[in-house]
Amino acid sequence: MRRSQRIVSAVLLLVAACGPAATSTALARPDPNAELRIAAGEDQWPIQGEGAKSTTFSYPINVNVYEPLIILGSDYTLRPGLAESWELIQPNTWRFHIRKGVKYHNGHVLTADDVLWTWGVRQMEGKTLSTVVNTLGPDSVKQIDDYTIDITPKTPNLRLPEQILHPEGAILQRGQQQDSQPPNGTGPFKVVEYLKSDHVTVERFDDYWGEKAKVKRITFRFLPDAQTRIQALKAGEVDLVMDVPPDATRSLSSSGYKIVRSKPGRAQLIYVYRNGAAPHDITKDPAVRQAIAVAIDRKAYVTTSFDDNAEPGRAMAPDAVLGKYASQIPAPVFDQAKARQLLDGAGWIAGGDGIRAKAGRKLSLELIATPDTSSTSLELLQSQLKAVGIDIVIKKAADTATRNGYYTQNQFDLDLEPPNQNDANPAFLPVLRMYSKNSGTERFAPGGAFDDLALKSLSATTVDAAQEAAAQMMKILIADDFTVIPLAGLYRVYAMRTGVDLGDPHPSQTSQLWVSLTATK
Amino acid sequence: MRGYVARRLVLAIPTLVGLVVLAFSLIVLTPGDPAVELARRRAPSGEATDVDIARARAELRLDRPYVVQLTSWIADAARGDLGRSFSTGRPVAGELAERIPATAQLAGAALALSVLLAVPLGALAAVRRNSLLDQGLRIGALLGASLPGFFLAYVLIVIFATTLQLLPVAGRQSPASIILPTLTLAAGPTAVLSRLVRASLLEVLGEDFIRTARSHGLRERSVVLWHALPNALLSTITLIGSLIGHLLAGAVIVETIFAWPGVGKLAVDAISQRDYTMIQGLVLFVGAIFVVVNLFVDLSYGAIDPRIRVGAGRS
Repeated sequence: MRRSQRIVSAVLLLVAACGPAATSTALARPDPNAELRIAAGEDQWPIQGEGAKSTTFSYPINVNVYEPLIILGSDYTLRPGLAESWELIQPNTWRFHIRKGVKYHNGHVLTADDVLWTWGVRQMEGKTLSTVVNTLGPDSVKQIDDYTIDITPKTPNLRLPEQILHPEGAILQRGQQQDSQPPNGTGPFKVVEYLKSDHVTVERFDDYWGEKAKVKRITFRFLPDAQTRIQALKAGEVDLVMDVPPDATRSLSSSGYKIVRSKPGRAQLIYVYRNGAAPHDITKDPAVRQAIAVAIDRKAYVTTSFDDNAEPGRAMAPDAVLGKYASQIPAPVFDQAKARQLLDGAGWIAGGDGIRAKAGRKLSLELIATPDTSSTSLELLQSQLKAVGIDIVIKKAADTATRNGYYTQNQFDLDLEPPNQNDANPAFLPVLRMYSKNSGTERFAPGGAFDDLALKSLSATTVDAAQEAAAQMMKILIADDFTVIPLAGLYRVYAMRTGVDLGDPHPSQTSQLWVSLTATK
Repeated sequence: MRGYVARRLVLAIPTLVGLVVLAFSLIVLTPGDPAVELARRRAPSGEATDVDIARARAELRLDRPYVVQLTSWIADAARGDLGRSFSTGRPVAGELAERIPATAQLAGAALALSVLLAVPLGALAAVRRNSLLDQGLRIGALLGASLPGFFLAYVLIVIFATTLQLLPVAGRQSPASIILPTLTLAAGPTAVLSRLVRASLLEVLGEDFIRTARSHGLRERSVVLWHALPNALLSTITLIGSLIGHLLAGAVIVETIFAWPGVGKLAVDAISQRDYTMIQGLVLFVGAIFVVVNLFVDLSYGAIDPRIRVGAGRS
């Protein structure tokens, strides 16, 4: 009896102890009627008044309102969007089976006719998603029936499904343009209010074909200044902040705000001008390129420059986009002794000031960088390379056009850039910048085996084969030829108040979905 | 007075013509080739071919003689057509028309606040010369004139929006939204203007007619308000004209921090992206504002001080 009493008492105590927690769990349940405010950067809604030339690529809402045929998953896999499925009809036709029962926000039912108009007319006139449009001809898009579309590029492009999922490829209702107000979409949210450069408000679309949004309404406020966004969070004017600067995360975290980081979707890379002419021909020497690659301490770089809101760079693209082949790209190893040895061997002898020279020519290189590159990053690179006898002249442009001027006029040796991976094409970046068959690649193209692999990647019939070829291309650029030096893989950083849960942070900002965003009462 | 106004209006015409020529010539004189820039933006790969560049050059009329380019541009500008923005592809005039009201509202509020604060504060400092109040106002003016706009903006945001939560951090959604950007933008002009009012008033207070007024037994307040201050304000009117430039320049930073959708932010983006047509439009707009404001300043001289219009008539 005593024993049973003790058991009953223990159970009662346990229940009592669980009571408040159970209550708080109930209170902490996500509120389906929550209305959240998010501080985004600049309004990039490109309402241009030029019909087809305008796009639906409108950070920060993108795929949440306007959906492409395929959706880019946060792991860079392809997920059915407005196309339920797709298949390759050899040799070069992609057949898309359009999802049935999809409604636009105005009630119009999606059919293949809308896809035909989007890709056969609107995109061809506007060329908004140029990676795809440039491979299409006037008769490339054909409607087979009400729910089937064939796309046959004029030149082989077997990466089309991985490219067409970019938000710029969203399917608009036939005849709709984006001239003064946002048009209708098919996404989980519909636009209910838009005030240019101020805010856009979206509301849950209850007739959405897929997973419904977990909050009722989101207002995105456009606050271009990062410090202003943070102050808006602290003042309680917004619930979540996008694009938090790396140096602000520690203080926000210690003030009780939740910090969420995505996996890297953007790499910070140095492109080495390997095919330059004098005076920008020093980096033609492979020993110099390799010495630069091994002289940089990437761990110190991400800690100092990004306050650990990044990881040491390894490849040109996120690991996920390369699948199991990502590990085949050897990570550059920091070894300044080896850098010195390489330069010594190539005849670059250190002078009295520590800077090396050869045949009376100093080992001095010009590094160009985009305006948003932090001075800390650049100075760190400068000091690390100086330690092995390489002088770096920093040309940080005050504006984008000046930086572009340096680049187009070939006034650089090293080009520091943070390219994004916004589609699932594993070969996107190496092909864009280094494939010698493309225009504008003459500065960096290594040619030879690299070009063979580029062609292999573009014509691979499976994603797996494309990933393998892309990884091999990157290996050539990073580990064999040293044309690309990966510095960092950058996270996307969000800060939010307690009770808000972002859910699934997407490495690609253009494909961030807000359906899993929740807020407790 | 009518003749004075007519003369001032006629004199403004060559200034406007010079402004139009200057604004147009920007596209010819600035470093870089606008045709290359435009073609590069349109090229899917970002690398323009010679054909693309030639097409862009023809579109911008850069393949024609300078005089033909200029006259065509003036003719288009007279019809309100300032070309299309390189960046957005939208008509420049439309972009400006969308943004001008916000900047006008902010600059107008800042100017009004500056004048409303600077005149009484400057007058008080002059009347109580070397007093504790004068010293305090001098320090305040020094701070106002020397604090960078972006720093002051953040300080105001942290105090009034984040800590006290009295005012919104940014945006243009409520009437209260204008208070912090106005305070930020008005700080510098208020400081400069108040010092000028003080110096001018001190100078006027030492003149003979003030001594005469005092000898007639007028109260000091009347002497200052009705005799000294109107004369002292003449020199400040000139400064108010040039303050417009300061306000428009200051709006560049203030509009970015406070997410105020005006021409300041537009200017930053246009310059950063070498949006030549937009820069032309902005130069024309800002220059025209200057010409018009200075014209009003000149006309107000004539209205306030008869000696000026009579003197101008004789010369």
